[in-house]
Amino acid sequence: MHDITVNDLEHVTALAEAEHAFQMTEEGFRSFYNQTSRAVWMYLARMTGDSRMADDLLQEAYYRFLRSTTTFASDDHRRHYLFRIATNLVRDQRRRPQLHAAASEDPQHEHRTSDHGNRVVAHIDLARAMEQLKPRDRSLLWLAYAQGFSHEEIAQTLGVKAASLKALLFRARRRLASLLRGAARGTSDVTRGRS
Amino acid sequence: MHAECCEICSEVMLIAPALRADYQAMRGDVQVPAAGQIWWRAAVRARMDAVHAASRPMTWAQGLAAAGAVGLLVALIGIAWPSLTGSLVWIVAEATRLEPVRTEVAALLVDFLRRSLPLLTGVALCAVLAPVAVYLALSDE
Repeated sequence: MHDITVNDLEHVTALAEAEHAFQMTEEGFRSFYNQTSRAVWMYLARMTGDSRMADDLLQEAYYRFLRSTTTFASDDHRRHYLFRIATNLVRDQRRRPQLHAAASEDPQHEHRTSDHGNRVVAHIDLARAMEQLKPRDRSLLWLAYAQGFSHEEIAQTLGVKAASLKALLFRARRRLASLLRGAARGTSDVTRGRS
Repeated sequence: MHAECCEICSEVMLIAPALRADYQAMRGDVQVPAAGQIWWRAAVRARMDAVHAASRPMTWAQGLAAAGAVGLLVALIGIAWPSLTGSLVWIVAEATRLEPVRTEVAALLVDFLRRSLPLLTGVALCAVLAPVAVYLALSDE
């Protein structure tokens, strides 16, 4: 039989206290987490370019969310708030000295080891192009086109004015399009060179 | 087709499907920790944060108490010093009355004690501050 230690007791006490310290019950959290965690993780992974960093930031994002004292009007409001926390965490992470540079993901390697033909090349191009964008542009495009957020939702999440969002999105889209077109030209040149 | 001649729409047609496909491809492979695990870690961390937050005022209070004790000690030494030296003078005077040969030695001793006030104060301060410094160095924060 497993002996109960002081540490175990402390953890049990911590779990009992959590319901008071956090802004939602464990049941409510489980449901909310199951709805949002994948999307948040993907957002973090795309914004940082590092899946291990995304794991750490995911934990931190939910912790901050649970500790917040904000009153939420709806589930959508809750979700936007969580993405806003994630955005701020990525921003803070970028300001810190980069200790994980060596551990960061290499999308090229990841995708080239598997054989998915043209789709793989497209993913590599997209990942590279996204990395060349400014962080805010990356967030804008990901939230708008990958996650399907509305302009108002993006404005709330990123803390920008809804009125200026259209222009920001237009410029971000233009940058990404030109990077993707450049990448496509490069790829076709290489293919032609090989044949 | 409209998208071919409209610049904005052609950009949207280039970007939106690519990002959406990337999202769908990633979604299939994503492995996030279980909700219970996240909850449990957050609970343990909340408890640790609470303990830290609760111990902060105690640390401050201990620091203030130590500083107060040092101040009090210095003040007491300052107040008591004249009567201490007076007593010493009296003792020495009594001793010299009994043994006139040692008058010079006694005068030198009194002079030394007067001059050594800062040194003695410093030693007393060190004696009080050393345990406080050791406590602060060995405490968690």
